[in-house]
Amino acid sequence: MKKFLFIALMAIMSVGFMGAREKKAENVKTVVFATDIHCEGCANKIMNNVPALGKGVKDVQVNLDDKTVTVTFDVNKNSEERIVKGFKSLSVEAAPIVPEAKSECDSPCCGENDSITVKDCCKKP
Amino acid sequence: MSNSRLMSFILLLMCMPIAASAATADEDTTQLKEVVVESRIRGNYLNSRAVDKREMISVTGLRKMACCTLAESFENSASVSVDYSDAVSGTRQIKMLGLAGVYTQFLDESRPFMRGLSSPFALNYTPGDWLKSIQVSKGVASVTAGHEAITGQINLDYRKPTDDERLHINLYLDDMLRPEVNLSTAFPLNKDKTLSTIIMAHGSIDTDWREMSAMDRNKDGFRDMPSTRQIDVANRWFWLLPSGVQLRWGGKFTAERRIGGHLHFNGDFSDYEPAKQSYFDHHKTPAEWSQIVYPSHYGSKVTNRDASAYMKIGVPLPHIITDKDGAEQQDNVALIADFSHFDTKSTFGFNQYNAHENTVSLNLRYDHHFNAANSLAAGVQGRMSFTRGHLNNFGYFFLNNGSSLLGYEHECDERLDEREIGAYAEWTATPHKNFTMIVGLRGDYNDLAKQWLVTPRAHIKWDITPRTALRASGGFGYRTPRALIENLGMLATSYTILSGYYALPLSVVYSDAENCDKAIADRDYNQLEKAWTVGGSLTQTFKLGHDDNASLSADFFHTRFTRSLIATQEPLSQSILLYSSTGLNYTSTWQLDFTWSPIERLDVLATMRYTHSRMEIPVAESRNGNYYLSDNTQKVERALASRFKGLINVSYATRFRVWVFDFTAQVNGPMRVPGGGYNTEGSYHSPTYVQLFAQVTHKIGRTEVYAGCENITDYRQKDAIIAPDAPFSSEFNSMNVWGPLMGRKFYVGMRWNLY
Repeated sequence: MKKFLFIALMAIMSVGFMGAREKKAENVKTVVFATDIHCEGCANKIMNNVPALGKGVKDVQVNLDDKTVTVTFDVNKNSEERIVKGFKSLSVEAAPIVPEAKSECDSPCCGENDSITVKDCCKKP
Repeated sequence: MSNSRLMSFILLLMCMPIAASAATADEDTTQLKEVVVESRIRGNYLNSRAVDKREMISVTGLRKMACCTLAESFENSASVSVDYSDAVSGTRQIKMLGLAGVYTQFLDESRPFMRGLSSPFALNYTPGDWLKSIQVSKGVASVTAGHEAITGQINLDYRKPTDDERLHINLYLDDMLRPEVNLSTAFPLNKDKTLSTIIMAHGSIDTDWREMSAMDRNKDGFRDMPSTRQIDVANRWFWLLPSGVQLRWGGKFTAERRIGGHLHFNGDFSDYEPAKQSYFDHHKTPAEWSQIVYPSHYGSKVTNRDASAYMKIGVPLPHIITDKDGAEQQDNVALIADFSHFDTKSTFGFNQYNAHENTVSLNLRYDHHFNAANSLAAGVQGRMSFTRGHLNNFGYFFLNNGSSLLGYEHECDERLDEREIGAYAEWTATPHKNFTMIVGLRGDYNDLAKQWLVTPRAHIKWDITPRTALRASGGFGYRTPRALIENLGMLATSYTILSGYYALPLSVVYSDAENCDKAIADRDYNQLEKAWTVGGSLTQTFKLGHDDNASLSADFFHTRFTRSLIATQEPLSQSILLYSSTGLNYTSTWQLDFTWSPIERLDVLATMRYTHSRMEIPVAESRNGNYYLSDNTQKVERALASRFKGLINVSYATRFRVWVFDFTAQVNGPMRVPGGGYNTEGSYHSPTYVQLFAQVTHKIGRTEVYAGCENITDYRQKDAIIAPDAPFSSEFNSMNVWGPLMGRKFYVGMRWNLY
């Protein structure tokens, strides 16, 4: 019985290691969310619960000064709506910031689609 | 440095008190007002800002293992080791600097607790899931918390009423089918969140659902661990008034029952009284010994109740200064009031100790900042404790050269009233930005000892370079021993408890059977234990590979008692001698700690501790075939103190700690184990053994699941109980525990948060 449990634990650990390997992102997007965070505790709450924001999250940066959270994620696995829902499950109100296109770049796409961020927009030829 | 200067420096250190500044958890690497890239907290690390040598066990560290109770939270620390008081009750006790845990002061968010009657048990009454961090300070601690911390101080930082977790659930199950549940809920009660509360609850039970053979792996007929059931409930409040006044109050209740002993013992002692009576008949010949009736099972039952309440009022004063780090420091006055009640009913075979204790304490403290470099904490403190107990120590002895046998029953009442009042002052000075000094002095009057106690302590920290810190501390400590409860394991033997240097049974020393503790501590009523501890550490942080903050720290501490209560099995066979001694009694401890992150999110902690501990015990001399204590003493290695402990912990976390892998390897050095004969005869050293632990944790949304294995190599001490097949014989002894009683253990668990 104990041997079986031991082998099972080792198996879980190896699956974990395999699962832990980061796959190469193919369609990555970075969105800045305006939030109602106000303290270090809020920042920690987000950083300690990144999996609550859904799958495909590559990077999260919290800025307490301007109360924003920047999330980089794989659009094939996650969406802004899902991330907003994830923030809500942490009792954080969040909304994606729609950039003012003209001040950042001249591309006509900016502002047309709320889900396109400044970074993506300006990348366009 | 000339000799006189050196002497002055040493004197300064020795005469000044230490003040381990009030424990403030700085376990977080998150930086306010900056972009937070990733919250990453090391499990065990050294607090670089603290003036004393302070090891931090963060929430990450607490989750490296199941950490069901506080007792299990120190597996990744070499500073603290956790042993069993006996193999029957399975009660766990810490050792720090090679000395028993009673010389370490426990603080519940800066309030002393785990004193007196509760000291052998309270480690099990703090669920690990309730804690946010633990701070372990070595050496003498701040005078503001009392004069008791001799080898160190352990401060516990709990979940807070202001926490975000509206509901936190922790479930745990191990392969003995023992479930544990921890719940906590923190919530504000008004709109502006100035009034908030937290309720924490714990429940655990040994279900005994597995077949009984699984509970007795060494096949000695005894449970390897007792069957326990326990509940703990705590409620804490925080109220911030518009004036800035802070109020904190709360209470906690614990109830526990543990049944140990023979595998099929169910807590029923009904056949014990007739058995006891059969011993009292004078059996003049060995043939008559067959008339003695034995109980069907050797059993132990411990039932404890613990209730406590506290209140803290903090009043900010108008005087504010800005310290060298640019932070505002405000003067304040605080009043802290504590009440605790503890009740124990402990039965081990024929031996019984029932007692209850009420303690009230008050602390009025004033904090003043003269300027950015100088501050003062001063206050008055009072404490009263009232203990009532009854000891029943049963045994038998042989007469007429061993040809006849007579049972005896030593009973004594314990009536211990202790009142103490004192005042303290602690000055923190930073004469240079790289040098901090804390000097404290307190004076107390203890009415039990009828003594004035003067406690000077001092701490210094010198940042020799920005990456090199030298710390030193020194000072005195005193404490009132509770001979019976602190050595409760002696009841889990058939040994005779003898008191005083004349080694008389308790009831003979005090024929009025009035006061066990006074009897034990000799007739001069000088019961206080007195000791001094000096030590220091050198910590170097450096860049090593990827890690900019790798650290190497070396420390040394020396504790020497000028008076101590000795409990020893060694001069006289099958007896435990308790007496107050002014003889030689010291311990020295060296330790090396190394922390390193060779790659991102891979943390390595390696630590090694070596202890040299010696004491004097009386020598028994044989006259006409009988043994008597002589005036001679012999110096011996302290029994059941491990010579060394080393451990390495490797922890790897994937990004955002979605997966966390922890592995710990411990090597535990030998202990000198009493052999049961006269004058340390038969004493031996336990073997060095290795223990391995592994755990994997995975986060799914707001849920964390974990699975792990403790004691992977299944190493067990198989002879923890001596004479298990004759538990009512005079050889029976379960005190000499040097290794794990439980074998390999698998467990799974989950944590879930609602915000």
